[in-house]
Amino acid sequence: MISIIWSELRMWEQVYAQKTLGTVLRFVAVITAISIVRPEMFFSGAIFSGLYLGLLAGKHTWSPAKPWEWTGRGGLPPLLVIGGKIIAVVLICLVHLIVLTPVAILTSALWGIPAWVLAYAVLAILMGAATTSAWAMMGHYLSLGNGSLADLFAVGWFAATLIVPPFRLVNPLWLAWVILNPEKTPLFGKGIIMGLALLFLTIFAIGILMRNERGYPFERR
Amino acid sequence: MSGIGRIVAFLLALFVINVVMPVHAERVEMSVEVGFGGYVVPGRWNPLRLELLGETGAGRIEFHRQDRNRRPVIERFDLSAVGNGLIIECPVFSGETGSRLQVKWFDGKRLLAESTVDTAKRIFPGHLVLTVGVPPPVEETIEESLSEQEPILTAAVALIELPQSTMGYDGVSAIVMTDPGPLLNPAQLRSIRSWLAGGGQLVLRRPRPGNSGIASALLPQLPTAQKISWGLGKISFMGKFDEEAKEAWQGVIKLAPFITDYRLTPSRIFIDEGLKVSPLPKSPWLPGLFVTIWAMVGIVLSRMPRRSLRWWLLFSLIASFLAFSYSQWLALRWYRGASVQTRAVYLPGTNGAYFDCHVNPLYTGKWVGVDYQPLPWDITVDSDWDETGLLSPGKDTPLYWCHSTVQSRWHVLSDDTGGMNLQGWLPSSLDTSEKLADSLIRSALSVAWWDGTQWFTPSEDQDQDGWQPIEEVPEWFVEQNQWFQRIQQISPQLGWLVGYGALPQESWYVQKTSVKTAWWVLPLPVEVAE
Repeated sequence: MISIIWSELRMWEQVYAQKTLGTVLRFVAVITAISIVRPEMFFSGAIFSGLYLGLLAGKHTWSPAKPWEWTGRGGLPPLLVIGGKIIAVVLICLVHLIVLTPVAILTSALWGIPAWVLAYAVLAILMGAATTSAWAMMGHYLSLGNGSLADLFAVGWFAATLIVPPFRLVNPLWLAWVILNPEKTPLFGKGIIMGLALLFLTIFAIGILMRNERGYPFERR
Repeated sequence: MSGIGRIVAFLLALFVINVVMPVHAERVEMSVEVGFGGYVVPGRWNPLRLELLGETGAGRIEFHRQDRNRRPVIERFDLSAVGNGLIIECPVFSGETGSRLQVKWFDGKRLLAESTVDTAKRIFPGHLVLTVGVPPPVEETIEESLSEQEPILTAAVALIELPQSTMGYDGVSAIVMTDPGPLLNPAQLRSIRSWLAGGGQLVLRRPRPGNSGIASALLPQLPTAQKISWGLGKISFMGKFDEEAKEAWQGVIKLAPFITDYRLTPSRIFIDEGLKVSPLPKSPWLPGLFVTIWAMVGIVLSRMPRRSLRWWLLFSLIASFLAFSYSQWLALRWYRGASVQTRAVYLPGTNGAYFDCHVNPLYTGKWVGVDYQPLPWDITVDSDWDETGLLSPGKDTPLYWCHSTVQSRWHVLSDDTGGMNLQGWLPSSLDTSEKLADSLIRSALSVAWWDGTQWFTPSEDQDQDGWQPIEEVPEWFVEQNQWFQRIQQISPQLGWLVGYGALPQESWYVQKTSVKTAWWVLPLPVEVAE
């Protein structure tokens, strides 16, 4: 698993770091500068940045090898491969959040956002990125590696959880609103537990899909 | 079922269980009592006593009324403690024609109980005299004797019904009490002392001797005279006298005409005429400027040809340090763009102060065409009594004030256009008026002294100590003139120290940012000031 994480991070840093860091920085800068660094806008910007990173990771943009290559050639269990990739995207997302720290500090001081709210927001952003990545991976796998379903699945889970009221608790955007609204904050823990449950369900679902595919499914087909 | 299947089933069950929320119900009752003896004094704060019976879980209580401009005012108490029964005292301001007050008890979104009180039918625009333990014939005599001067209503209350909140005595002109002994609780004693200091009149009927009397709890020293002064108020100890004689009471309780009864009490001193709202520098573009510079440096970094993750981290570190320093500087000038205007009137002696705070959060709602949920405003008053309130915007409701404690000392007078006017009382933590005056003068940005005939300002001459007379009223004072003029009418024989600056003990925080300045007034006898 460590070799999977390391290879993802190395490839991202060598080829894509400049691009993704620049994109996230520009996007968050625009959205916060026009809104007096309002926390809900900053959090929204950071969440969409997480979704963007999750989608790219889910499409294996910076992966040296696809999951089925790891399971086939490397003989690694599918869950280990998917888990490694998810951890890698979480770490990459964290690097982006470090770059966004100055704006977080500004937001926090100007709008009186306590540190625990920022910590909760980081959790929501990371969970959103990881879940998007997992859904994009599933779409990517189901579309036989050409990635046509990856975008649909990544946007789909996010849109569905935003639209369907009972599932809103797992939506990172809704969670950001929850933590900025003291009346609703107690729901955050529940949202994170449900979000993690959804994330692990998705990972296990990909694992089940891949379990019987040893080797190169697309070559066999 | 395989291992993975079992885990999937467990997670699925967890997901589904969390979606379905349990609902629990309890039998509850609620009783609401406003004013004294069912009557409220218009244009004054009146006590509201709410009793909750049944299991009080983690629900909330909401008070809905209209302010004098017919705008809705909402105060809210969150009930965090679970228990059987709870009493909440919440002074409410009654408009000149009374108001309709709704009290709602919620458990989540579910309305457990609701009660409506219409004070319009029970207003009494005159002097209210509370009687505690006084026989009905004596009560009648008091009412008859004093009503020859002014409209007067006596209301019999039990000892336990005397408000614990200082604001609850706003509409009370006098209290006639048969000495019950030292039975009042500390909150009641403190409130009565403050009410007396502001000009209240207490008549103790049949006072008990020494430490068995209420005077031993109320006063620092046992009284030696039949009448003693306490600030602007007085306490009369009436032993044996002809209670049935009207003339006797006319000599004991002196009531000014109701309309011009300017006691030091919140509804009489905090008038809005002449209050100039002076918003603090908002500078909404300053945070944007920082973000823009940060982004430009970042974009340059992202165009660098070489791999540069370490440069990104170094950039983030430096920018974070700058953001920290810059935001601390900016936050002190900004308050999220709010206008915060605080006025304080200290009571004579060390009987605390009344506060009036207008908070106008400007940046809620729409901004550059985006309509998003406005954030709650967190306001903390930090003295010996920490109290936090949230000015929270509801989706379909105006701003509402959410109390952090059921023993609150701050209440909503009105919902100003876009903001909120809060009034409250805080105790004094300094021993003497002299110490308080020294502390206020030291931290004042502007200060002046009115001795009843002339204005003085601190001497600018280093060689000359003290105060120098000035021919004209200070310019900054003229801006607040009407408000101070009203205060001067309360007691012309007193001198008044007036100023603008930091308050010595109280710290106000709006969104964790300290509010440094307030207009303040301290009454001082001329000899003390000299």
